[in-house]
Amino acid sequence: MATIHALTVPKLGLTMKEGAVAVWHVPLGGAVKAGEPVADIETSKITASYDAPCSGVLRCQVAAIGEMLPVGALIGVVVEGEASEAEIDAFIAAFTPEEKV
Amino acid sequence: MQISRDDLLTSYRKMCTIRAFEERIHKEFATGQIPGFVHLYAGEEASAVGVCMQLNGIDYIGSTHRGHGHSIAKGCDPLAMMQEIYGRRGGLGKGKGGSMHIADISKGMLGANGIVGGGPPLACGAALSAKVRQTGGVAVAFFGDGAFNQGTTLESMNFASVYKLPVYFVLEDNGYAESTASSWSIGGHHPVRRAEGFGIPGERIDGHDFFAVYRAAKGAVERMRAGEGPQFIHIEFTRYYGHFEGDAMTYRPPGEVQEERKYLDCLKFFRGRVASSGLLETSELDAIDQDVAKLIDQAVAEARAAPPPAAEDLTTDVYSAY
Amino acid sequence: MSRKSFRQALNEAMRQEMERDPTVIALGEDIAGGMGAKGAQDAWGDVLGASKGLLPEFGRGRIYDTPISESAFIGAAAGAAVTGLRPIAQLMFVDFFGVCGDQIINQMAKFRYMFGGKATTPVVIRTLFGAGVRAASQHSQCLYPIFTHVPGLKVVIPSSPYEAKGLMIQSIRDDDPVIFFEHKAMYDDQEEVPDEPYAIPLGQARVVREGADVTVVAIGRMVQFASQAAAALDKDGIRCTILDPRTTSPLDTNAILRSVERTGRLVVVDEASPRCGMAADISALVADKAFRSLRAPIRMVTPPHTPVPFAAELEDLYIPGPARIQATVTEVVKYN
Repeated sequence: MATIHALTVPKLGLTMKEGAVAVWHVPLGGAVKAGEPVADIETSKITASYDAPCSGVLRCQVAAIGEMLPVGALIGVVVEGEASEAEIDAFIAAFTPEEKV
Repeated sequence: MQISRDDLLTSYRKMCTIRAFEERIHKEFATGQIPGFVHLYAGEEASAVGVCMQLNGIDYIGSTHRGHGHSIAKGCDPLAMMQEIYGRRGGLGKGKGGSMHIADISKGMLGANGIVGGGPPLACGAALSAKVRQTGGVAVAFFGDGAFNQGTTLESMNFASVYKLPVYFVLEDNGYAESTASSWSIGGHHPVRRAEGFGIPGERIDGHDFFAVYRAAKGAVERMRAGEGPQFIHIEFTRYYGHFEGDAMTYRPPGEVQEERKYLDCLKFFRGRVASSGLLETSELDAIDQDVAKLIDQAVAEARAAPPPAAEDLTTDVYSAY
Repeated sequence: MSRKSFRQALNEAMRQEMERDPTVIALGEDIAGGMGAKGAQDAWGDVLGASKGLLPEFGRGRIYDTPISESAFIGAAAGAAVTGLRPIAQLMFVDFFGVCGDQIINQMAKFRYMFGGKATTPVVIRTLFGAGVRAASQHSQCLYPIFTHVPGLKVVIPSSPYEAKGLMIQSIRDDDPVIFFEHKAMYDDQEEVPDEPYAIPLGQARVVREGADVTVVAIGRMVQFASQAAAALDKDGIRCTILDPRTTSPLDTNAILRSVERTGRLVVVDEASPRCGMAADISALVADKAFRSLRAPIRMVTPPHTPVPFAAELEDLYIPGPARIQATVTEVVKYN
């Protein structure tokens, strides 16, 4: 049974509304470990390391480098266990960001 | 120094609750579901718990912007705290205050504080109140290395000294005031001597060592209860996260936090110490870890599902009567 | 000319004035960041990054990270100003005024008058203000009415990146103490801002748009909300004049009175608490000096008289938004 996790644009600080992936620290297909840097996120103010909230294999880098996206938008997919490309595509298609506060 | 089994278990549970609470908020904040400013206490647990274990219902604490740990240590309900951090009606402050203003006067917690140096004068007031009302209570002013350079803190130390108020000045020196190193910002580089200048005795303690904090705090609180006036402690330790969530911490050398997490962890020290000396069984500690993990899951699930404040709440609670 | 954020506009203004005038220094908590630490210097560039890059350009001789001691460094800015420098001091959030109020309202504000006109105190206190980012009661206030109340202080509240640059440059060049309010929710707003230095005089209101039916005076971020409301009201055939006072001290009373004489109606939109606020002050000015021009009661759009709440739902209700402005203007125009 696989668990599919979403990596989303993290909120970094008080006024941040959007951010972009500056660099991926884990290549496509690489192992992601919870609490370790998976990407650098760039905002209008800073570039900061984004620590993965989950562990697994980075199966998809959804966001293009430098593409500004709102906080909560999908940037990548991490899978624990086995999942098919079709399952991952379906996860991405069905993904809706939570409303921000 | 003997610490009872019950006290050891309670202390571990509290430190563990603080750690899990903060680690989880770090994760949840990144999702954008937690509003506003959040400052995390992870890495500093031994201070809040080592000190608050000496206190009881008649005692008060003043806290800082990094106040979740003090709140849990002084007995605030983690479920209601989490609701407050999410801005829910069921939160400790009905969702009106948030992370930086968590308070529960009924538990002797006078509030996390958005103003650096805001707490020490309040602790002086609580101590004065205890003295006038003859409750036998004491007050603790937790403050950071940044606040140690605020006039309010220095004035409070003098105030407590001249009235011999039972105020415990707890300097929590985590190395950085925001991004500024405490090794630079504290002139004279000798906090204990600074306290002694006000006539307040103090000592410097390794804040990763729960037992050292516990011992020092026990002595200080006993002296205050015996009428010896204010006491001081300089607790040195590290914080595992930024000044606030979103702080990229580039002012810290690369790898510093990872090293500190590996070698300077009050929870690991505690486990090692009680296991090697046979005071507690590892299985007991593991059971607490599991309990706490469940509690934090419950806190987040409840907070996420809880209703926000109602529109009419906006204009209530400004005055007692008007 | 290029698109710049509010943050970049402020940064450029400070940089250009520091290049132009060697007596300009900057001080405040973490305005560079990393002082005494082993990692990166200029790690913050102040809490929202507006002074980032000033340290590498001007060095520690002109950029001072301070201990968290507002009374000391705000007061030191006043002392340095009266002895030959032009300090820009950052009071991180205006709420922290509570810590250092004496140095502002009793010291720097009064030097010139008390000393018989023989002192000049060219200091700028930059400070973040305003609600909208869930920063709760001690980091969200709009305290400019308090400073406006104190003779001797100038109070500047820019409403856009263009305004921020021109007003910051003038504030640094000004010979009096200026409290410069930066709305934290506007930091990422962008617009065209000239690359070269320019100064906007203090005390001259800006006519944001002209319309015959009603004068809307709006301050700071409220200018944006009033503009959104005015665009919607256009569709109902209601034509608004929007005045941005830019500075509440000096206040361009002439511009407000002349406008009300033309439109006969006044709505004031202010994010500050309603009691003794700018909305009340401007309403009183018009009632006092232009009563005969009024064709409808003056209306104020302000938050309720409460601290700023934390919960998103409450804060959104608290802030005067475009919908409330639109409804109030409609009532005023329909009054007869």
